[in-house]
Amino acid sequence: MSHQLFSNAKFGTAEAESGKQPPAGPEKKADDIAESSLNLLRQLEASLQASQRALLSGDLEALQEKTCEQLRLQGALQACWSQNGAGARESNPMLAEFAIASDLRAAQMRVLDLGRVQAAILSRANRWLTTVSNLLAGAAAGYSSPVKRWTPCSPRRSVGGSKGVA
Amino acid sequence: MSSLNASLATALSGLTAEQGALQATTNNVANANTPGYSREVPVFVASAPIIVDPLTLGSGVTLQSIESVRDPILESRIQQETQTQGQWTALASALSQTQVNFTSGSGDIGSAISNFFNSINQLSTSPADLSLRQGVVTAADNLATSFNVAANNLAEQRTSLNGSVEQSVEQINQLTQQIAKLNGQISNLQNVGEDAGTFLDQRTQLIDQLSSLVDVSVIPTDNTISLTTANGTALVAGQQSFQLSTQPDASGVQHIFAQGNDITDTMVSGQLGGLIQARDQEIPGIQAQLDTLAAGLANAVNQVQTGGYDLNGNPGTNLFNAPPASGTGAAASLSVAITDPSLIAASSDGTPGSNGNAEAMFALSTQGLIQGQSPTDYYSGVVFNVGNASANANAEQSASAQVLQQLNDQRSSVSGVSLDQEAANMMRYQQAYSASAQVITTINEMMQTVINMKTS
Repeated sequence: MSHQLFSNAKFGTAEAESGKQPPAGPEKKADDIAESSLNLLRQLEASLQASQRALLSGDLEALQEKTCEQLRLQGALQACWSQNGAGARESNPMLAEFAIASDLRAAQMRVLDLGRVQAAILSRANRWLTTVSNLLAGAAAGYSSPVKRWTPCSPRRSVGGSKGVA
Repeated sequence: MSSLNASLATALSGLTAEQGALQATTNNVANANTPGYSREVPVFVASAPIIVDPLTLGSGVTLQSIESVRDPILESRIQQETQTQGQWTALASALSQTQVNFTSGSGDIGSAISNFFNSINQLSTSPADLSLRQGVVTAADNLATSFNVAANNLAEQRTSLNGSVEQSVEQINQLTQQIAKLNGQISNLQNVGEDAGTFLDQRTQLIDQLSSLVDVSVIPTDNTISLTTANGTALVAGQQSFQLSTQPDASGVQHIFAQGNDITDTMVSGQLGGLIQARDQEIPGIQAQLDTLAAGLANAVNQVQTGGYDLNGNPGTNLFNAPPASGTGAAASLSVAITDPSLIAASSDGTPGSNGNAEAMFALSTQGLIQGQSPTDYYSGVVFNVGNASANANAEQSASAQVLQQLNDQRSSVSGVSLDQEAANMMRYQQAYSASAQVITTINEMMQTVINMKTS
């Protein structure tokens, strides 16, 4: 999955970083950034949709897997943009001339909306879990949530390559 | 003979019980597609045994009750999420309308600000040109109009939301009356041991409808329920409903009262909570930002204008009528004070050819006039805030819809009618009924044998 993540992305690959490719002009570079970003955003979009389904159906394993995947995709996007300046932003005049600029902007908006919905569903799930855990804890429990905090993902785990949390 | 009669009674109890069970199945099948219907299940119990010393003989079966299958916790979650959905739906709808005022176009405030400063910039190239001066007056007028239109639209929207609050309160009152009436019917049936499933389903549906309007807490009591708002205001107590009412304050804003107490601020969820949030928080917040922008811009322009000289060499006068000192209402009342283009104070030294003051006025476009931001940046911030709030409300609405769908699916799996299961039940009851009938036939034959013994 990790390989697949970067297989279509021209940034972050060993080939691109090793400098074996012929030097590209500014337009070519911007085009590459845009394509890579779009590819990563589409993966992020699919991952967010999958994690919403997992969250609604109570599939915690899938939810954790997808959340880790999203963190890594986010990291890949940041790396893609930071290694190449702010080139991938749709406000960049260089990118604005490319055909996929509108696709990129649309993908960013979809990811933003999905992220908002995901946050809203998570807050509902958290509210319900707090209620249930307080119920189960009995009368002696305080009002603070006895639900344990989520263990962060291992940064080196391959995307979607394993289940659960490190 | 007495034991044959007892067996006959036992077999008859089986017939009666299976008949009742079949009735429940029939009702389930008939209501397979009825919204909100909860499937019924027969509850069989063995009848009290008869002790014929030294034997204890079973006396058959009793159909104790027909119960509707419900999950109260699931229903509570559905009601809670329905409240949340009602709130965000109302808020998203209101913010969507608000957003129209901030859509980019020829008449929006952002364009009007840009056009105004562009006209001043043009004037600075030829400060004595009357047509360019007229352009400034026209652009100022357009700027004032764009503020007026946006502020008036927001005020109209608040008035419209006020009407929606009144309508919601009327709907709440109708629903609480119906729920109280159903409480009475349910109590009457349950007190005599009858199944009130149909009325319970109706009440659940009405509570769902009420939940979409207001934040409701359901408190079960003996054979009935009480409903309160989240802060404890009674809506229904058994068979009595408590009506809410609306009264306008001095500014015409409708407040909600329950038994003489103003509970407007305690309405935080449901459609009513969303309407009040939009009416009393979101839209006034946007109005205040527009007022700040209008007042800041007008005061800054007036200050530069009065520091210069008009085409006749006279000291400049206000370009915009001075906004209220508090700033409140500045956007709605913003207007241009001059109609004569020669009164534009483009000159900084009183000579007609001077453009010093026009340049100073144009420089305002990039200065941090409003809370440290340029007018355009501040307006962009307002647009962003409105768009962000609207997008968040839409996302919350979407999340609620998805969660509700999931919960309703769960309710269907618990309380919904499965035709396959009902077909199996029907066969089961039919076979049991046939078996009981066969027992009766056998007892009849046995009795006939006994009678024939006596007559022969």
